[in-house]
Amino acid sequence: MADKKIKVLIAKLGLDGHEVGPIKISRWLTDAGMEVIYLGRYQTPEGVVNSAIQENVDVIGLSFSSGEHLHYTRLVADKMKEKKLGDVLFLVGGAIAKSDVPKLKAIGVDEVFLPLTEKDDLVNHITQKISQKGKTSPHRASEKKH
Amino acid sequence: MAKEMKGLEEAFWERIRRTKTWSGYPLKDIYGPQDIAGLDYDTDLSWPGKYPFTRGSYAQGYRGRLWSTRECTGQEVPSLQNKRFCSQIEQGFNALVLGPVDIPSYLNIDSDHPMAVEEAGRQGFPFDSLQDMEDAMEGLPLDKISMCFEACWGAVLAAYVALAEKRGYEVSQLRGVMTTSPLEIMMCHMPKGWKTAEMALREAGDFIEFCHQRLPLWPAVHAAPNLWREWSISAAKEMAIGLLVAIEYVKAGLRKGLNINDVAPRIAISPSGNIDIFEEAAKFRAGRRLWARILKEEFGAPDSACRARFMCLTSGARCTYAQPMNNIIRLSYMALGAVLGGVQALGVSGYDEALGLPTEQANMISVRIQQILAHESGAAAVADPLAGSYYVEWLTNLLEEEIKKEMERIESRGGIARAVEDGWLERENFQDGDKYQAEIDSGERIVVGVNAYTVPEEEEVHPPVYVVSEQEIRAKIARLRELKKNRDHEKLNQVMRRLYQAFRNKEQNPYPEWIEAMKLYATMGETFGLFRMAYGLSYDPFGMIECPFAL
Repeated sequence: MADKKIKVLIAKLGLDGHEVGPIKISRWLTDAGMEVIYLGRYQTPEGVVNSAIQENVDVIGLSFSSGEHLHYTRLVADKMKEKKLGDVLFLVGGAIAKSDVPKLKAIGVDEVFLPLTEKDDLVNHITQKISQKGKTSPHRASEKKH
Repeated sequence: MAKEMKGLEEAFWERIRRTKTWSGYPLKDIYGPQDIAGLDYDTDLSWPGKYPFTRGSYAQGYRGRLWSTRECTGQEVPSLQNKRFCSQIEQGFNALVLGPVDIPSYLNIDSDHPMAVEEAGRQGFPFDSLQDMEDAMEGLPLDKISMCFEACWGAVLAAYVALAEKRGYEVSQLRGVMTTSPLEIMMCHMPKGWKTAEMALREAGDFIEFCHQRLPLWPAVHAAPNLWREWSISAAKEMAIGLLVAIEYVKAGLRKGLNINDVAPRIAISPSGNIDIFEEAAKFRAGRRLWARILKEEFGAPDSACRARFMCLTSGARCTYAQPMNNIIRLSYMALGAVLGGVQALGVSGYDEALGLPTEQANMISVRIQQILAHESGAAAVADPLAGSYYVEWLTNLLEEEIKKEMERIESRGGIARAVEDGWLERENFQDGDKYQAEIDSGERIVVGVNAYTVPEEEEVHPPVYVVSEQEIRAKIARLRELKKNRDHEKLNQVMRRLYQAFRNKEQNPYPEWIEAMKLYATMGETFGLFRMAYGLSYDPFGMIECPFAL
């Protein structure tokens, strides 16, 4: 059976309209053979998590550039816990102060990617983490029936 | 040793690899007389200040008046904004900008809205009420400065006029500009359903009429294609969008019963100032020529009403996070392209654009770029110095053709207002940005410090970053809550009822009632709520707050 493409959901939460980051990341991940679902701007935590479940994604990626990352990340992390999405890789990126990286990880983010991130570093991180999790994670179990 | 020698040899033979303009138009290696055969001086160029204004909007160019320095700083609270204004005046700024506003203010919601609380004051000035205008403008002589309100809604203008009246100034003597594009802000920075195109065009008509009646020295409304350019669209597409939006605003003004003579001078365009010096200069020249022809041929405007007014903002998207000091050079080239293009006002981004709000040091460098350009480089001493260049005249002609093509393409798909509402242009933005990123990834497009001439992360020099004061922002939000409690509710409710009716009556200009409402400390979010209700939308775009006024 052929390996399924890694599915990555990308979204911008809150009111910020700057899209350069998600556009760049979408291109990188698509080039690397992943399937990118870009929800767009002005998303809510509920919307992101519901879409993640619907699309059965491997990765949730949030992009921030206006300083509200701690607040929204906390809300998404809570929702993910509530819906038992513990196996979904949770990534955050954007114009984030280095000093906030440990705080984000304490909330439950797996990794934070700052603006100088190289394409290969991001791609390799995702592919390694996903292959470590294997193909039998609970929330994907339903796929085996089809 | 051999490896180093090889690198040296490669460096010696380095040559220009990208043979296109920034926007992607292919270029020959040299241009000559044959490339501009058929160019007629009188009909295609003429002199600065003469139709079709290709060579400049004003006869004297920068000898008559230098461009306005429009530096955005958008401090997180009014008291800090006031401090920044005072130090800018000391640095020789010839004009001030209240802006950009923060994201909740872009969306016309108050800083104490549950959805705004986390974002208030973070990326710009948190405008809520007249109280903020009073504090930001404390001690400043309104009759001696030229104010610019960047990306601000009508409530901000109403508050400024309210302030001027309260402080006893003659309103008709005030100088300033609103670089606000009601239609474009809707597309670029608002979720779907926040406003309709009909509402945006009504706003434009009201601005124009109000300025005609009370602020004669004040161009009313701006098309703001610089917002779109940030998605890395082409120079032609940018100017095409700007011209189409400006035409919509002309029509909005004419619908108010005003004459084209009175409407056209009130419309300005805020293009981007981008990094390809010659393409930018050609863009401005072609834009002026096209605008003049459109106004004359489609609207029957007399020559004097056909001049374009460009307020240029350099492109933040060109400023990299990597090696940020390089951005000082980039911004200098962007400013040069704009000045060679003959713009009327120029805002140079902070070199720390990718890191946060501009620090005072970055702000000062931005104005120094302009001052050195004006007084040392010679670039501004002679009007339209690039005229007659084979390359630039050819490029101006090419840009004109490409701009026209883009305009026709958008018109054939239903026009710009429809494009904004439908979202298809927004989807194109993503594709344009994606294409740009692909060119960087492949190396076809070189961005110094990003995909070439990089340094290891540990060697990156990090300049000081502006850190907003959380404490000040929280205090500001608390003050707003106090303000809302302590206003004269009865009087305010009466005025808000009249303002609501004014919004509902689509022919009525709401500014007189709006100014009265701002004097009683109505907030931007509250007046926006009434505006929405007048058009059948919910008071609060998020549906979380009920209208507190009895209408």
